[in-house]
Amino acid sequence: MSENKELTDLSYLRSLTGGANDKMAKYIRMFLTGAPISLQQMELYALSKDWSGLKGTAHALKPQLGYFGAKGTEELLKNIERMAGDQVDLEQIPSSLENFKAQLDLITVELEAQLKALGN
Amino acid sequence: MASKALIYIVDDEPLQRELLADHLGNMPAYEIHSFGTGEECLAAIKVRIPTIVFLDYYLNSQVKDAMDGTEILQEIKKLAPAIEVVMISGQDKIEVAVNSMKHGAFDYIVKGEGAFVRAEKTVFNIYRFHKLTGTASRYRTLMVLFGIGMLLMIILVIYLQTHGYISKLPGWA
Repeated sequence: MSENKELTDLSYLRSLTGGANDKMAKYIRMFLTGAPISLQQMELYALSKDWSGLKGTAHALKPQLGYFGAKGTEELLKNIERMAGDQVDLEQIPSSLENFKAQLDLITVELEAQLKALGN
Repeated sequence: MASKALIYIVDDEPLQRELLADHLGNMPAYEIHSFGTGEECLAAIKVRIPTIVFLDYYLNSQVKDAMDGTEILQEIKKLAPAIEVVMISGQDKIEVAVNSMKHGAFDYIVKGEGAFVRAEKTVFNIYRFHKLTGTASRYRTLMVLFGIGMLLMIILVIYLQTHGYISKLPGWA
């Protein structure tokens, strides 16, 4: 059985900020504020079958996950963006969003722990 | 003291905007301002013209009916053609990049880990490009002035020759 593997990896952010804790904390806080709003928007877009809106929000959130090293979750969002953009496999979107929500919850826990470790 | 060159950043995602602004803000010669929509940026351009605008391709994730990057790019070029616009997007489709360049973008950057370093290099490339075009323009002006000088000299010599002034000069026989 594999160990609990973290979804995030802050090494890129650390190198980008030159290890400045205040900046890293600022970016983490911005993500923790913005990502749940984006998720809520995506759920609403999916419910109202606004595929263009869903694609746009997924597209905007996608690179941010990459900055926090959440590559797997970024891929998941990329897939949601593709399904909404090309309007294919639309029946899979609700389960993909559920999956994304579960991963975002884990990412939130990890980033909140990082914030504490950064002294914020 | 020389004034700083101005850079505008337009991105509807606050985190993306902040990351780029902080990164480019490390360059002391530039003053950075950022906007959440292209419309805000256009309003700012009417007040103060920047050297460079970093412009996100999709700008409607927060404001649904916001103009997209290509529309804003065209408006910027109408307002001030000298502004260098660098498009930024999560889209790595070649047609999106080609479309941006066709509308006058200086460069196209795909969002991701390398984007911030690339943005910094692009600022340097724009600075170098402007310096080179400035030098070329100065050389062109110099060459035109030299040509006019030569032409005036020839006209003067012809005038002096036809009026017999040159043959009257000492030593001319």
